[in-house]
Amino acid sequence: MNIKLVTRVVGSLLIVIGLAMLTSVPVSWVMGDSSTVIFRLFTSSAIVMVFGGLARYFARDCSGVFGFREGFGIATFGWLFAAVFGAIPFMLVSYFNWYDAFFETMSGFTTTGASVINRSLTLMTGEILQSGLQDIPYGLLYWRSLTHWLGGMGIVVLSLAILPSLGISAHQLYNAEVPGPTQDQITPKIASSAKILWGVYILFTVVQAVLLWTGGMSLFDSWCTAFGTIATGGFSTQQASIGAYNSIYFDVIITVFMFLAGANFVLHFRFLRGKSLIHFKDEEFRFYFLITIISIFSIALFLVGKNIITTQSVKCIDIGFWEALRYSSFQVVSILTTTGFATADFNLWPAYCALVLLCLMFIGGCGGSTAGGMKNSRVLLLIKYAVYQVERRIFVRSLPNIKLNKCRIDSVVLNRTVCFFFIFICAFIFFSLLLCCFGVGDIVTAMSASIASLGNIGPGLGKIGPTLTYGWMTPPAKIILSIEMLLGRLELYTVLVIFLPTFWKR
Amino acid sequence: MNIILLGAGEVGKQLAYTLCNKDNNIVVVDSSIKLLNRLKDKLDVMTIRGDCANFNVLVEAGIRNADILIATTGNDGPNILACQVAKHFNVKKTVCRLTTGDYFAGNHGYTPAVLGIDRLIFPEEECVKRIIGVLEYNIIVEKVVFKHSKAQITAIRISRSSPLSDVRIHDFPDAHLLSKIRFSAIIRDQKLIMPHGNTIFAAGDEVYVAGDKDSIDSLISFADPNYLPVKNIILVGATRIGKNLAGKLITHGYSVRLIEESAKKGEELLDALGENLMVIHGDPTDGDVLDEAGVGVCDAFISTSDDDEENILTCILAKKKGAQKVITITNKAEYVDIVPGISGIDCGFNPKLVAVNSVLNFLGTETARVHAILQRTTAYVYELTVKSSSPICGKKISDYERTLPVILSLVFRDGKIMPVTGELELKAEDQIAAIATPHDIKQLEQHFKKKRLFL
Repeated sequence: MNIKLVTRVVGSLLIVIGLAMLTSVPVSWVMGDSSTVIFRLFTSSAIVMVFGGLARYFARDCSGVFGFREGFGIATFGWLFAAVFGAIPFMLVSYFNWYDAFFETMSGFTTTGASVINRSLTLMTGEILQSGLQDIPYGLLYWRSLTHWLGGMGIVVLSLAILPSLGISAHQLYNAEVPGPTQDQITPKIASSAKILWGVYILFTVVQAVLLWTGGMSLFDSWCTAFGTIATGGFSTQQASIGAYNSIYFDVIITVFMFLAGANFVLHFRFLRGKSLIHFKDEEFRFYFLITIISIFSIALFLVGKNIITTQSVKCIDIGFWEALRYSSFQVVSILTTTGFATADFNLWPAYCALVLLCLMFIGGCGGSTAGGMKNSRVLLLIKYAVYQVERRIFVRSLPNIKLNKCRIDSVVLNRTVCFFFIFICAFIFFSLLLCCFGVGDIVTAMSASIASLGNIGPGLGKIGPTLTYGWMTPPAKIILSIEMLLGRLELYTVLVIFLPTFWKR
Repeated sequence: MNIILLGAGEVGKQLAYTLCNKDNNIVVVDSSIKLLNRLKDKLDVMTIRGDCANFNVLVEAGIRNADILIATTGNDGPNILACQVAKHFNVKKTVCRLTTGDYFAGNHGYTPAVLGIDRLIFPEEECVKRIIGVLEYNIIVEKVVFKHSKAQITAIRISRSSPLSDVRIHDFPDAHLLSKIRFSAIIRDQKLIMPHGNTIFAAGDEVYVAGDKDSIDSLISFADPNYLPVKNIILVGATRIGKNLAGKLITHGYSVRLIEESAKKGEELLDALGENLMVIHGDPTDGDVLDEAGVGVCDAFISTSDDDEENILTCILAKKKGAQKVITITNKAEYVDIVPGISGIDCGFNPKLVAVNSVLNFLGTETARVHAILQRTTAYVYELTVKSSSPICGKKISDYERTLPVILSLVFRDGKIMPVTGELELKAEDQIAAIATPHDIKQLEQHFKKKRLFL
């Protein structure tokens, strides 16, 4: 790997992140944070930009070819350093311990939405964060939600869109970050494709924020919630997540936008260009839609007549079908799209409902979306491949005829998909075991924490349910989970190649 | 510009590499996913898998907004069809690669323009012309000709026994001849160097010399006094280029023998060309077959089969068996660089590079266009036009000589070659030919472009 070249591009990435961080200064000022907070946000942003500038300066005379190694190196180290430097405001402004700050930022950038902030979090100073999220200044809350938004469409894709050409092999960078087994290209140039995707992304964010704001949410909350929704992140400005508002209007708006954010943005772009039924012509989207509908109704029917506790600790006794549908649809879409918002504590739901949600965590959103998980297209491919393998017992000589959107899938892609599934499951089990070694006491918590991080979801079951946080975990467990989030966001291969000895030397 | 490239084979690949930059949006169409992925892994281009002549595929490739369509697949029919579709959508420039121009008849008004083609390229024919160009004299390794007044840039190899070896350019005996020609570039140990007055020619140098045909001929007869004319030629392979070459060589009066492994192909060739051609049926890598064809006494041996590796090895074998001048055809771009370094092979030609050459020539700007891609090194012969707004216009060459990265080889004014001396003052509409690498040309072009005020 050409270390200088990677350093230079990662330096540019840090500058972009520093600039984004700088926007928290005016927000903090408008929202009336104390001048200390504003100054410290400014300092953090300056530190990030200075480090970015230094990296660029030391690697100014980089040369050489830009190959596969450099693409993977930039994606992995770009994300890692984004999380390291993005953590600075948490430490400077609210005195988080470094591992807590790193966890929170990594969870932000990877759009996981798992938080450590609760009413018993120990700070660097040895004090306890008394009233949870309410103690965090607005500027920092904004930065926390902004990390989601930056990471959602991808920080590397963002830099491809706004920075002048990083080199000719933009495809490698793009492929290293954009999820899904195969990538659609909208325009001949990667940079212009990236611009278009970010344009659609910004449009959705603005529309949702305006809709929430007109529905009565405060301006600040509506923007932060929109950031968390479109990026399928899950950080809320309320300790009780979306349940805190207890509004059907907000539930519906957020559900719809979570669902859209979990679908392929290329489809949205084509839809906006005037192709009205494009979504339902896409096989992956139909599958995604079907899974959503089936899960919502099966859970809703199970919940009728049961008691529900919302995240705001309000008890609803003997709920009817419509109320069951409201809570079930929000939770299903939130988990399937790997967002992680919550209105009800599904931890206390019947075992069937909780287990369906756990299964949805593995599936995740669609390729080309901002969601995590294994992706619907991969699951669909695996199902088709499995059927083919069964069929092959009889038709021994048949060639694989597996099609997605009428396009035959190459056996190279199929093998990669099968292997992806294998690595995904292995990683899930391996990290569950690791968590048990580092202080997680029960199996449900360990396993759900592992998949909630690997799939970039956020809340899980057991001690990390929707009303609880990751704050109680030991520092090593938090680091392990942070790494797992990165692994999940960059879809395994991009991060794993770093560990090959041949990656480093030619 | 929005460019659509049809065909991701060798020609398409090299064009994509040359044209891919920040100003061009390139879409490549091919039916082979393997060829497309090879491009996509390296370049910022969009690839579309499909039939190149298919209307829907072309629409998907964005033909509605395309500026240029380049049809470079190996099949004539689809290429022509694609150009027609392009003109239907008012694509500004269309380029069509064909094997023959026999589809059209200008005197009946049935021109390529009727089918929506702006520029036809015939890589095979063009390549054959270049090969015939180097057959004229033994020491010529490459020849680039110009339209005007028999001007040419010719590369000659200086042998150990040549009177030109160890001669300093300043001390060249014939001062009158020296004033009419210009030494433009030297390839020494496969590196391109720019000669100046104090440069001394060494044995093994390949010297690019520019001038009119007569002067260059006299230089060649000075450099190679023991010259014998080429008469007997052996070809290998009845491929498209082999057939074409055989036909042309016979009409030029050479005695031609062709070795072909397949009897059927050989018979087809005999049906087409018939007279004065001998086809030998056998494996060209078999020494006995070569001997039977008379390799030991032939003046030139040209291997034109479709298999690059076989061509190279056959040529080395022929050289060892005593062939005078050995020429190989290669198709892969990677081999262009190594063929000049193989001691057993005198010249190498790449028809794919010739195709790229023709396309680039058509796509050139008003001030600079590619005249020829050199086959011996990574350099181009550029044609530059002086405009009245160019900074270099009205200046003497000696004023610029030190700042220019290359030597100006030829200056044409009103269709005549001007003697290029330091005293020559450049005027508007002068045309200049220069050998330059793609890197140098950017610098050189600045002297010809209009100076922009706000940049």
